[in-house]
Order: sequence, then structure tokens, then C-alpha cells
Amino acid sequence: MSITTFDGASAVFTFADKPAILIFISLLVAGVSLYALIATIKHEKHSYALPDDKLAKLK
Amino acid sequence: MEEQKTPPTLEELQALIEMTNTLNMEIFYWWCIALMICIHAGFLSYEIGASRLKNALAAGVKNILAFGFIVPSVFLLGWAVYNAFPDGLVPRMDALMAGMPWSESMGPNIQDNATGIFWAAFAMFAATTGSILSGALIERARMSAFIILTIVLGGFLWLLAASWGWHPEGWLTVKWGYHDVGAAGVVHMIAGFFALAVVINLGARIGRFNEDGSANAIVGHSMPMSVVGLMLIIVGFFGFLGGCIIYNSGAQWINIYGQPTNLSAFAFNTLMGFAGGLIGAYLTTREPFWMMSGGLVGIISVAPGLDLYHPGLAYLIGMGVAAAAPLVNNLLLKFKLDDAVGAFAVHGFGGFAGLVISGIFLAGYPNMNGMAPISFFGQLGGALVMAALGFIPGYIISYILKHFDMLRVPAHAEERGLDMTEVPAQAYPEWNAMYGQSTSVGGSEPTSGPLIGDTKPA
Repeated sequence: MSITTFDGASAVFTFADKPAILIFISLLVAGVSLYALIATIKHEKHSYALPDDKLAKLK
Repeated sequence: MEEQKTPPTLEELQALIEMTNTLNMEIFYWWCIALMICIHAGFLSYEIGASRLKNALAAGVKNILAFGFIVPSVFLLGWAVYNAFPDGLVPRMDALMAGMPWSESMGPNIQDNATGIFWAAFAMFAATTGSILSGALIERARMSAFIILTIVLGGFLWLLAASWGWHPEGWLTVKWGYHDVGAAGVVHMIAGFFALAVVINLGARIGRFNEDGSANAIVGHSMPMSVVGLMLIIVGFFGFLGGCIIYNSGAQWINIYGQPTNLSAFAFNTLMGFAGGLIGAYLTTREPFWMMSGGLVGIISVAPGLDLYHPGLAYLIGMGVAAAAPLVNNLLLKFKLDDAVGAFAVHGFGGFAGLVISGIFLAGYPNMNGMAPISFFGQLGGALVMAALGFIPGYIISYILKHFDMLRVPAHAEERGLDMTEVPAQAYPEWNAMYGQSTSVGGSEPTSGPLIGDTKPA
């Protein structure tokens, strides 16, 4: 949505002014959080499996 | 000929005053938010210092991640929860939808100067709950488990508690006269009791207790860092408590329940509670970690009645509760509960004692719009609700995580240190050059490097 005057304007999200798009963006935010959680779990699984000497070399 | 200016009309003057008040309100909370970030910075420093060298960065990563996960959680769900559940467990659907992230008020809106600034303050309160939890679990909780727990605590539970007891129409206040202006129950007790429940399922750090039940001290690598962090938390508390008072355009300040108050009252009692807490913990411990923690206890213990106490009484309450807090932590040790930074004693016990004591001294103070006045049993009941709301979900979720072996790091990772295991950075690179690998620092010798699956979590 574009506006021609600021009088009476309130929330203007340019292209993302439809509820469906805003819901989609919100779901993306939730998805990124979920992805970061899964990435953390994978990182833990990988790093707990490494022996000390391998870890020392990585530092 | 010079054009003569027409004087402003009364309507124009009124609009000018109203807009000035609105902007002042925004500015006030903006700086409260900035100060509240000091709380998170303080906890970051405090927990890193309280960790052994081998776990210093892992403690920091955990604390930073809490911020990164909690803020979007409050945006996606938490703010709606706060607005929708003042009646209990049945939501007000219109308020729920108005707080969802696709609502017009949940983003830049030039007609709405309030929602964003209040949402941000609530997000910072949420981050505080995550930090309280974080400290209790250092050196052995899985990062992923902590993330799940902190999202539940900061993104949902504290907001449900706030909706019940820190809302102008919250049922605890309407029915029981619950009075908790400084969030001793809705923030500190919720987080403290949640942390206690998780600690029960998580278990103690390796080497914390002997077979005869006696406890060994596990000393963090930098007490100065912890003590400075605690002082930073105190700085942040002035933002936190500023966020607990309502800027009432054109009229006297009000507290979250609508009762008139002012920042002067908060200033008197925050500082006197803090000072009393320092002295109380000094009298029972003589050491700086607990003195600074005692200062926190002092503020938390007077938080329910910051608007009402005589400053002398605030000092005495802060002193008494802070003197007892280290003893509460010692009591946990008797039960082999390893709360690494005394989070329950400071926040859970401090908040509980503060609410119960406020019931004694503030009973009879009237509430707004015919709601129940403050009473001892209202405060006690509110404190018990907060304890249960923090403890029960914390216990259930951490129990489930434990059941699926997702709560605690493997023993070999704990022994060699979480920094070496999972953080691709070094806290103090020079240390390695001088003394070898940091895994041997802090009482644990390096392990021979068993693979995952060779050892079960302790």
C-alpha cells in the first residue's frame, strides 16, 4: 500500500499490508527460531562425539 | 506591514500538551528499556565469572542466546498472552487477536505511541527471567534444553503470571487484592521456582557433592567479573522498576494497578532495600558474591510494596530477607540441589518472602474500582500461585527433557569443559600458552576423550 498524505495514516507496511503476508512473515520468524534450535541440537550431537585431540586441533 | 500572528486556540494548546505528554511517556520508557538491557549484560558477566574457566564462554553463549530467542517469542505470542489472560485460563479473544504479530498495533504505527514501547519493556522483563534461569544451570545443561526452557519461561509463563497479577484487571488483584508493583512474584518468583524445578531434574555438577552428602565448593574463575556483573544488574533494576510505573499523561504517576504513586517512592525504597540487602548478606557471609546478591535480594524483597513502604522498613525487610537468603541456598545443598549461582535463594525465596511480608505490613490498603484491598492472605495466596506457576511447568518440561536424554550434557563433555566441546573460540588464549589446555582448570582433570555414548549423563 502506498499513501499520498500522512493525515490519518497509521500502520503502513508498504507491500506487506495484507494479513496473510504478515502471518507468513510471523511464521518465518517462528521458523527461524525453530531452525536455530535444531541447529543447536545438531551442533551438540556433533561436538559431544568429538574426542579431545580432535577438539584441540580445531581450536 | 508585519503579519500579526494569531494566538493558538485552546484546542491547539491542548493538542500540543497531549502530544508533549505522549512523547515524554515514550522517552521515559525508551530509556528504561536501555537500562534494562544492563540487567542482561550484568547477568552475562555474572554467569561467565561464576563459571570455571573451562565453561566461561559456554555460559556466555547461553545467556546471549536467551536474549535472541526470548524477544521473538514475546513478539510472536507473549504479548498476546499478557493481554488476553487476566481472567485466568480462559482468554479474551479480542485482546488475544489484538496482540498477535499481524495486528496493526504490533509494528510501526504513527497513531500508536504506546504498544511498541510497552512491548519492548515486557520483552526485557522476559529476558530477565531467562537470565535468572540461565545462572542456575551453568556448566552442565544442554544449550538446546536451556533454549526450550527459556522460551517457555520468558515467552509464555511470566506473561501469564503478569496477566494474572500485574495487570489492571488481573484476577489475582481483582479477587484477592494482590499487590506486587515491583514484580517480585510475576518475574522473580516465577523464574526462581522454575529454576529450582529444573535444577532438581538436572542434577548437580560432577564433583559438587561427596558420597556422604557433603558439598564441595566449585569456584567460578572470576569473582570480580561476577561482582561487577551484579552491580550492573542493580543499575538495570532502575530501568526495570521504572518500567513498573505508569506514566500517566497530565496526571500523577500510577502503579500497574492504577493506584497513585510516584518515582520518589520507588527511589526511596529501592535504594534502602538494596542497602539493607547488602548489609544483611554481609552479616551472614562476609563475602562479596553474596553481598551483591544480597543487594538484589533486598530490592526484590521490598519490590511488592515499593510504592508504600516507609524507607526504614524497606531497609529492615531487605536486610532480614538477604541475611536469610544464603542460608536458604545452604539448605538446598543439604538436599544435594546444585543451584550454581543461588538463583532460587535470591529470586524465588526473595520474592516469596517479600510478598508474604508485604501482606503483614500493607494489609488494608485500598485498591481501585471496588477491587479487594491488600490483605495478608491475598499476598500469601498470590505468592503460592506464583510458586506453583513457576515450579510445576518447569518440573514437567525438564522431566520430559531428562527422560529423552536432552537435558544434560554427557559426562565426558562436562569434564573436559563446554568451551572446548562446543564453542569455537577461546576465552583466554594466553592461558593455554602458559598452562596448557584449560580443561584442567577448576578441579577436573582432562578425560581420555570418550566418544558420545560411552558415558551416560550423571
